[in-house]
Amino acid sequence: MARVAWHDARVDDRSLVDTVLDGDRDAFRILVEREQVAVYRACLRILGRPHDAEDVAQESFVMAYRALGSYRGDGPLGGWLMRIATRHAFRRLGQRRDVAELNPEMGLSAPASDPLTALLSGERERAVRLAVAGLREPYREVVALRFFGELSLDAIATATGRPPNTVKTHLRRGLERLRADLGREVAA
Amino acid sequence: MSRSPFDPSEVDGSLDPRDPAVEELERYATIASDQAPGNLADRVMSAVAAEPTPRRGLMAWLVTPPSAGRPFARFARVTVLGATLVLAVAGALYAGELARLVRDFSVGSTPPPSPSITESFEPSPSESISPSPSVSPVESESESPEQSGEPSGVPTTTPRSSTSQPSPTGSEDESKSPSPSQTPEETDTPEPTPT
Repeated sequence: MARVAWHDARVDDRSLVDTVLDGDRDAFRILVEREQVAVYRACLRILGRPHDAEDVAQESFVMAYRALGSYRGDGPLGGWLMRIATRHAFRRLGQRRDVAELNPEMGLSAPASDPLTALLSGERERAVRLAVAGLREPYREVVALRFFGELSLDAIATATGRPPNTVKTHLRRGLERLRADLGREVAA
Repeated sequence: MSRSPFDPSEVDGSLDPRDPAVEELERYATIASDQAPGNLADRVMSAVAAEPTPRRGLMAWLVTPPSAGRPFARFARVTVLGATLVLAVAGALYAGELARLVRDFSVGSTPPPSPSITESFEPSPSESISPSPSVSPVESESESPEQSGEPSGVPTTTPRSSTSQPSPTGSEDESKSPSPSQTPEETDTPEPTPT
């Protein structure tokens, strides 16, 4: 019965975390099942490869489990988890760029009948990914949490511990820089 | 899971609704919306099974390794650990000192003043002689010590310092900062010996 109650979105995240901290590992599965889609998608949008996204999502959940005691409960658990995942995904992307890409990603969109269209679409997706990854912090984090993690600005403010107006400013400036970078990519 | 599209009014309407960066991001996010693989939860739980139960509060913050992208968090953690270590050492030293004071206070009701006084005053005559040669070669080769001593203008303080510091360090200080005014009064240093 308690399990059914946990799946209710209104259930207090703090109670769920406390249950895990008390030694109930199964309570953590509830959290994983609740957040896995959002976490996986965010990782996929950052990394562009389903296998990498799956690995990073799994590692992010394990990292979150280890650090669960440091969750203060002052914001949604999903935002706290998303921050861990996006940061870990960008770190993995940086490591991946350090080594030669022998197998560049083909594009996430559905395979087009025209190979040229598929190629252009894949290049465009890659340009967006790299443009976001090339942003400086804190702009990169805010843009990624908003567009890849699909968090609201209030949730980002809570998760990052920054005032909402600061988050808005970071997002606006991040988008301005992204516009310039994407324009340069298109021109190239 | 439905997407929540970006609304330019989220950033106080200062953004163009047809901003190309927003359009690109929205288009890309719509494409990359695959479902998570079905066995992700099982994989996570099998990985978590090998982990110890997470700790709570400050211990979790101290024990959990900081992420590589947060240099400030790493710095703060190292600072806290260092401060804790310093406080522990300082506390141990203070406790030891306190214990020593308590022991001395309880035991030391029979103070042996006489040996310490005689030892401290015996070297003073020999020390009073040593400063005068060290100072005189620099400034007052032609002057007498009395002439050089008067312009310094602090006749009352210098004798006290010279009598209170009969140790060899007194002669070193005088050689560094030549205050020859001490030399005439150093001859007065034998006065404390009657006391």
